[in-house]
Amino acid sequence: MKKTLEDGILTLTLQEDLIATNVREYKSTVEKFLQDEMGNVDEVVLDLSTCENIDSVGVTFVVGVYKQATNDALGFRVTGSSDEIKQLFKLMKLDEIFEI
Amino acid sequence: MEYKILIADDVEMNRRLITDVLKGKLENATFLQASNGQEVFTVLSKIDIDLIVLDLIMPVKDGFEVLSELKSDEKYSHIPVIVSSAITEISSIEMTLEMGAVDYFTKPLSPEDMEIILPLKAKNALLFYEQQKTIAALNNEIQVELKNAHDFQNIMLPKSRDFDMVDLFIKYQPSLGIGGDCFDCFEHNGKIWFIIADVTGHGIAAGMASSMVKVMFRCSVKKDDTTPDQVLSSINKSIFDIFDFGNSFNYLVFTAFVGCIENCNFQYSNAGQPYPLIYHGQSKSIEIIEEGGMPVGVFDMATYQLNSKTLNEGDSIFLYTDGLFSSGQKSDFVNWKLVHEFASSHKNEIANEPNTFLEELFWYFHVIHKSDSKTGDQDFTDDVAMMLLKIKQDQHNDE
Repeated sequence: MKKTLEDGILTLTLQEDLIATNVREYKSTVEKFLQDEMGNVDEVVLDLSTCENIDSVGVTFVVGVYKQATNDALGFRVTGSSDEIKQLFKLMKLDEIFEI
Repeated sequence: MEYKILIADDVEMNRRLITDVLKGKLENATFLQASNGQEVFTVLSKIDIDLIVLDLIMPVKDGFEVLSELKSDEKYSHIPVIVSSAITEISSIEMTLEMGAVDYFTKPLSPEDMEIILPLKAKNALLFYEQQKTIAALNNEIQVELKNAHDFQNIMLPKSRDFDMVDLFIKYQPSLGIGGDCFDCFEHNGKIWFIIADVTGHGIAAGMASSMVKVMFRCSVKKDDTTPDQVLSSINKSIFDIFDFGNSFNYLVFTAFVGCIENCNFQYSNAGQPYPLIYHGQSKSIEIIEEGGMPVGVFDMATYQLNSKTLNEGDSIFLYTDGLFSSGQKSDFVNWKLVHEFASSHKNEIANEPNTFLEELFWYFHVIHKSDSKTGDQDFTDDVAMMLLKIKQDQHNDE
């Protein structure tokens, strides 16, 4: 996972699919990034542009990042989702919770 | 534990030398001898051997043949084999290692070989053998536990049967013997209630969670005058009341579709399940129930939408989990469109032979998974659950 911080926007770019086998590592990385940048971030952006596959554990990861950002009073949105990922988020009505 | 080591070599002096070398360095070992390949199998048929030191050039049956037969026979394939030979060319050594030998040494043995190398190789092979046996025992234990859990989960699942209002048809295949898919269908206060749910992940933890989902579903339904959306909200609330997730991302999360049929009135609520289908018997058409909803266990204040439709005699409701079409390898996790296409071209089976429809749909996706160029020769990687409820012929007349 790659991070960039610009004008208070922390962009987290996934470099592998958002599936159960990768989520454990993503979780700890996000926690560390947010801890490291505490006070410098206004919004968290999860960039899924290189992510082809997502499973149910991956969906809970996205929701987890959203919750963590919200708990810290930060904005949150997802960018770069494929049409398939958008369809899944719409089925689960997550597009009503955060911007996709 | 006493190890039994078989030395197979056609030269008696070599057998004696190897035995003497190992005897002095290995505790708790007894030695047996074979002077040709055939004798190896004679010994094996009578005694459990823990290690074979195998000469490659022997009369009757040479070491290559013996090694090949050992590794292709389930009874003996686990026994570690150290190859010994006067052959020094690398291709023969490489071949025996590829065939399954754990190690090799060449003859004649140097003093260093006798003092250090050969005993170490034997010790390592025996240690490897011990570890393999431990893994096999643990694996066996896990398989027994999985089977027990699978049997338990099977008891909890509804079986294909007929109720007063509907006939129920099911097809279920967990991916690891026990799975996170769960479904239920029962009659309560003159209504047919059903759920199909898919717990995040699969395997034992998901199986435990799916058992809880079923219990929570039944408890929620048995409250007076409840509706499918209220059942989902109630289960969702229970999850946050019962479990303390703290700041963890590890939630008990599942998608679910809950339905309730009373006479011809069908009420339902969806919590992220792939869109179910309705087959309308009179118009011979397929309708997609295209309402979504948040998975259960994600947000404590989540609410769910109540929808309703009127059904007629001969209509069917078809539900399925995403394990049917999702390979777990690529962007086919929204391939419910393929399910719809298949159903549209198999309306006759839905109407007249629901079990055939479920089987054919299952095998249709089985072939897709198997033939997929990216995933290769792959079976279903997730649990697969399908449920079809057919409104009985006399429903319409009862109204």
